[in-house]
Amino acid sequence: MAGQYWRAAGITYLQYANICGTHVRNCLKEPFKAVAKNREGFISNTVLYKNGKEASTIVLNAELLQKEVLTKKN
Amino acid sequence: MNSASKLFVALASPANQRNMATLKDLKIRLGTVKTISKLTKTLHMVASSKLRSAEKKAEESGPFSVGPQKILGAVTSSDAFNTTTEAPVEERSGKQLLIAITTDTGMCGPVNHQIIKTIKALLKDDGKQEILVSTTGLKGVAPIVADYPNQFLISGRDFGKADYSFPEVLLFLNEIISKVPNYDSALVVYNKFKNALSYNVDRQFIPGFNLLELNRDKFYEYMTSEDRAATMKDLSEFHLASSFWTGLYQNRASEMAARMVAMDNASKNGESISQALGLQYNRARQAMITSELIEIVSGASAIESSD
Repeated sequence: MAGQYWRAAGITYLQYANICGTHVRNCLKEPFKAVAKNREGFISNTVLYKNGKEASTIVLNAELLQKEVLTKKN
Repeated sequence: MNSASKLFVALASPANQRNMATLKDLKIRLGTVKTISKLTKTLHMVASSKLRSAEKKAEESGPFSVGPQKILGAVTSSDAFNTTTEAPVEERSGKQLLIAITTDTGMCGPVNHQIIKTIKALLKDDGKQEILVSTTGLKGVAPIVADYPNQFLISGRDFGKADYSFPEVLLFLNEIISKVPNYDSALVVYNKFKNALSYNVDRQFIPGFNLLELNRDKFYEYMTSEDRAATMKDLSEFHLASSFWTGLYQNRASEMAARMVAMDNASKNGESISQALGLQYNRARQAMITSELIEIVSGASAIESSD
C-alpha cells in the first residue's frame, strides 16, 4: 500500500493537517500572507496534570508549530 | 425597610451615637456599589458587542462539522465493543476521551456550571475509570480535579484568548491524542448556542478508529482510496478536530450571551441597591442636621431664659 508514509513516521492526522496548512499559508502571496499570519496567531499554555497536580506546561505558539513542521520534515 | 437598607443596619456602631461614622460608612458603601455597577455595565457592553461576532462565527463554522457528522453519525455508541467477539484491529486503549469546553473567565452565568455538572454525571456513572477528561479554560479545572484527580489529563490556559485559531486547536488536540493514541471514542461537551437568551449543553460523540472498524459494515457504501483502515483513522481524528472547533465557537457565543444577561442583571441590581442606599444616606444626613439644629436652638433658648 502506498500512501500514508507520514503515519508510519508517527505523525497523527492532526499534525499532518497542521503541517499541510502551515505550508499552504507559507505559500501565499504577500498581502494575503500577512492577513493569514495575523489570523492564525496564537499563544496559550497547555497544562498537563498528573494525579490532580500540575505536572508540566507546554506553551502553544507559532514557534512550536514551526518547530514541529521543521523537525518532522527532516 | 427594604432588604438593601437592612444590609447596612449592622454598620451603625453603638459607640458613635451622633451618626457620624454611620454616615461616612454609608457614603463609602454607596461609592463602592456605584463603581461596581459601572464595571458591570461596561462588561455588559463589551459582552454584547462581542456576542455579535461570536454568533456570526458560530454560524459560519457550523457547516464544517456537517460532512463528517453525516458519515460518522451512523455510529453513536460504543456498544459494538460489547456485542462483538472480534478482536480490535489495533490494541484497544479502553479509554474514552472527554473534552469539556469551559471558559477562562467567570461572570457568565451558568455556562461553566452546566458543563461541569454534565461531566460529573458522566464520571459518576463510569466505575472503571475509563473516562479521561481534558478541558479548555480554567473554570473547568478545579471542580473536576477536586473530585476526580486521576482522570484529569490536560487543560488549556488562555486558549483562544483573542480568537480561536485552527493550528492552535490542532496542536492542543494532538497533545491530548498523544496521551491516548487509540481512544475508544471521544466526547466533546459544550454549550450549544440557540439565541441570546438560551443555550444548552450539547455533546458530540466521536467514534474512535477501533469502533469504526467494528462497525465497518455501515460504511461499505463509501469508496475510499487505497488503505481503507487508515482513511477511517484519519476520519476519526478529523471529526474530532471539526467537532471541537464547532464546539469552541458555539460555547464562545453562549458565554458572551450568558455574560450579557448576567451583567445586565447585576447592573440593574446595583442600581436598585445604590438607590436604596442613597435614600438611606440622605435620610440619615437629614436626621443628623435636624437633631443638631434642635440642640442648638434648645441650647440658645436655655441661655436666653436663664438671663
